[in-house]
Amino acid sequence: MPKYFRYYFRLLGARLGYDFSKGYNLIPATFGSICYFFMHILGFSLIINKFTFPTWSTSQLWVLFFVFEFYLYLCFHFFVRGLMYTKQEIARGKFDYHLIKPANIKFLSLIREGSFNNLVAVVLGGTFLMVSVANFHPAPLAIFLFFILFFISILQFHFLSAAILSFNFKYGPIENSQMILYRFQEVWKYPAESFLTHPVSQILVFPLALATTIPARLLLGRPISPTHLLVYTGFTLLSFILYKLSWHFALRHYSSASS
Amino acid sequence: MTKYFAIFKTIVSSSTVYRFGLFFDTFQSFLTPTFILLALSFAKSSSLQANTLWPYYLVVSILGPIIRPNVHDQLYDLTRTGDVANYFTRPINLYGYLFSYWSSHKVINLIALSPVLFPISFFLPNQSSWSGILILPLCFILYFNLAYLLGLMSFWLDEFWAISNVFDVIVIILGGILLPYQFFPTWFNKFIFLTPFPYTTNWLARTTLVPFAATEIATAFFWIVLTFIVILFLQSRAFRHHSVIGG
Repeated sequence: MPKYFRYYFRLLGARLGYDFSKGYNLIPATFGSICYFFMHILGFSLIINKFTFPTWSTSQLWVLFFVFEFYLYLCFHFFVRGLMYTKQEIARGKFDYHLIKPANIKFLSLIREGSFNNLVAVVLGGTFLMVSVANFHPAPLAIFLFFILFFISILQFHFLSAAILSFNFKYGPIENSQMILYRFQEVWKYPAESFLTHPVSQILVFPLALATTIPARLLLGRPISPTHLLVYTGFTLLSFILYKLSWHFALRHYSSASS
Repeated sequence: MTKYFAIFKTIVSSSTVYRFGLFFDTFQSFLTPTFILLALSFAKSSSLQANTLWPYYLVVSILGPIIRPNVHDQLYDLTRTGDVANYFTRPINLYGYLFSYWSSHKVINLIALSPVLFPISFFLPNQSSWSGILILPLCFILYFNLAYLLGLMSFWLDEFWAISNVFDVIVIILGGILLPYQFFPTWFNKFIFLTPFPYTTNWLARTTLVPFAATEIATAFFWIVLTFIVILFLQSRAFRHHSVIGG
């Protein structure tokens, strides 16, 4: 484990060093990243101007929203570059580079982000979250549990995105497959109960939406249904199994002659 | 013409080989609108009903893979790698190549989506929305020109992806992709029609609800011609500015 922490922090240092070496170019780069952050705020405020969500007050919805922003940009910060480059390496037959290393290939190939622009969005999301949750006076235990569950939600993202990416081993380069889970981002913006209205979304969308709703409920001091907690745990386990199996079987299709 | 047809054949061939990619490409654009609609169907509103929004979002989802080319990012890749130099001399020019490349992609996506598109169009509230097929090429060309114009900036900018992100956000908001214009304040609705963005996505999506005016075709033409003139002007400067070192 210390090896992986060391690896991650070296990567982060190198990446930040590179970003700061850009000088004035860092300003448009940061702006280009956080413009999406503010687009989400604008879109969400327009929606809650017109619509109300039963049992959720506006201030509670904003807490959920900033949990979403914090979550989304942390997922970008950790994984986006790894997903992008791994997909390219599979297509070009350069994945051997990871196969020969004496470490976990999934970790090495998928966790190699650390850019300044996403870090700024993470800090902004975290700051807005702290401000919006301040009125609810969360207990220290709730904050501790929030971080535990939040970490599990990030792992869930990692498992699912890696499982989807593994299709590239078998089916050749699949355009935008590295970004597919990021396209689900609207799911994390709204209360998970919203996705219980239709039988299909109950099965396919609701478990995913719990990734932000459960941590947000903890911060807000709202009760969490045992069924929801069970679905959340079950879905995390399922995504872990899917991740293990898909990499195991898909990697067999890899040849460095490129796919 | 033969060379452009050869590009089309290449794209068809790659799409048939990577069929899973074609499925992913078309499937993705349905995700965001579906999730917004699902969330809104649970929410309550006094002024808007979520079930009145589905025709709009359905058309927006279908239009994504058909009219929005990623030409700006492709231009960035070409300039960054220096491959753009291949198009400085004849027999094929850069605009022509990229236009035929992306129009081929979009035609294939249209064919792939047609089993969904045509049955759905019978259930749309405005039955004259079939005329939307006529304005589909206009929307594509206008979006292509705007994205190409932006892509030309990559000849001057290092961190082009950031500008590309800003463009995407502007198109998502002003093009009515994220939310229909009913969600925005009145002043915004007056301002937006002074820009080319309503004619990229929102125009076609609106035809599912209300018929379009003939003046809108003239406005779309105006923006297409204007953007094309600016492209010609900027492209010659961009090519002169370009330099590639190393091999």
